[in-house]
Amino acid sequence: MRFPSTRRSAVLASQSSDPAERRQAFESLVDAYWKPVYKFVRIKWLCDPDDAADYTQGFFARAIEKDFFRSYDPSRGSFRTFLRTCLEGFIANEKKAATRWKRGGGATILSLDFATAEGELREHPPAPDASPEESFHREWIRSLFALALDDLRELSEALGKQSDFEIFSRYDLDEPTSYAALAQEFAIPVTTVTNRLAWARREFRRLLLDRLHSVDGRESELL
Amino acid sequence: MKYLSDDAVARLRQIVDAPDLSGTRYRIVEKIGRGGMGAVYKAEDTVLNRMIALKVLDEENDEANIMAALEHLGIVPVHDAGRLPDGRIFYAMKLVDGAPFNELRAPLADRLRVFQKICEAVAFAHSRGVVHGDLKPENIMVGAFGEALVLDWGVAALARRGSIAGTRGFVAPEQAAGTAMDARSDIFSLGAILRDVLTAEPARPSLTSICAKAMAVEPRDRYASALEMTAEIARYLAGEPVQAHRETLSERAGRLFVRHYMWILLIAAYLVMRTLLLLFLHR
Repeated sequence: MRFPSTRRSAVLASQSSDPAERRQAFESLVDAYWKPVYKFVRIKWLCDPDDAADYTQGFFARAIEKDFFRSYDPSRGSFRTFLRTCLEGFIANEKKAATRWKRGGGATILSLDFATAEGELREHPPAPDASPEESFHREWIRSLFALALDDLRELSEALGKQSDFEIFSRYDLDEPTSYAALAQEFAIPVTTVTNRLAWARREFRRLLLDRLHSVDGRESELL
Repeated sequence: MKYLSDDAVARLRQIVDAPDLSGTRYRIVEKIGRGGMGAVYKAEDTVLNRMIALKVLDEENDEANIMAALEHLGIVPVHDAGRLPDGRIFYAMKLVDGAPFNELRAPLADRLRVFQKICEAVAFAHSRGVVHGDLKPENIMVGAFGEALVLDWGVAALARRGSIAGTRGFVAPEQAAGTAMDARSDIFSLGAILRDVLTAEPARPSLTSICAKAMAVEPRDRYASALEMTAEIARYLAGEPVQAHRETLSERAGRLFVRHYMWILLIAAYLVMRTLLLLFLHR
């Protein structure tokens, strides 16, 4: 099981001499960015779902092949903006040269669930007044939070604290409820609800920041 | 991976943002604001039974140490600092009951006197080798009795690590370009604050010249210190000529009239009386 610990900066790790570390760095970036990239391509260039999936695969394949992310300079802006700029350059070049990855022709290097991403886009279309860039930012934040939530679930299971995760999920994600109602439902004292919620929230925060730092993000970008 | 609605993300964001104060002496009352370097909360110190301002930093920096080393009436005092259970750095400071400098509604002379206090606090920091780096009206709180307190020394902390920022409209060009930053960059920002004070006021060439000198593009053309700048303001308030401005004859006459108007009126009244008396006697 992948047990989340303090992750290294993906940009730094991508320059490691250790192939396993480079691979993990790349996976961190793909985990956090593939959905925002796919949806951005769909929204900004109005590509059909298959083309957007091909462009997404192609972008990450080219990024690893050409080592795009090595040239990132933190003093010039956020990694998120840098990656989006790389993506825009990539799409522009592909369209200009008309040599984009042919549907089914480009090697599928990543196992990405584009059908789910497409379903999300259909059920939760971007706000009409949001620019593609704003939507990209929102989707990136959504991805990070969802990944951190998965990490918390994994951690809770590994530590035998499934009910802590359950309480966190019920209180902070579902319809509003009270500590007393949760105490009754889980047959535990209210103080235990408070303590378990406090633990889960603290761990969630830590895991989220872990994810954020692994993709060279800053806390101010979450606001 | 579960899809998180916008509402769920917003709730989780709040959870991540809220500091974990369990086991500390503080209890959050409300969030006051957010600067570039962290969030500030109004909080209750449950031991001393008083309200304080609690700043939770986004990243570890020397801000609290810098402020603690600057003991001055014009610089917010730090009471406590440490690490929260969630790992973040915080510090507790005096909660200033007042309004930002740009919201101060008072006659120009009063606002200039407050501005002098700001200059004195900044000069004190410079004498301790600290450059604020983000001076702007929002970072200056003015209390009910005209006391001015300079807040938010986060950029000063970053500047020590070579990373420099600032606020557009107030940041010196060399600081914005990332080429250099020293006490003269703060002088530029003080000039920009003074420029804001003068907005919506009738043109006053002496004060405009003080602004222009403080905001010179070349740092060497600015005032050498914040104290020099406050001395210029003092000259203006005393009706004396300021060094940054070469007066025209009419400006000089006007200034002298304002400065000595009581004497001028007395002499004029005396001359009028005397003339009337002479006319009366020779009738």
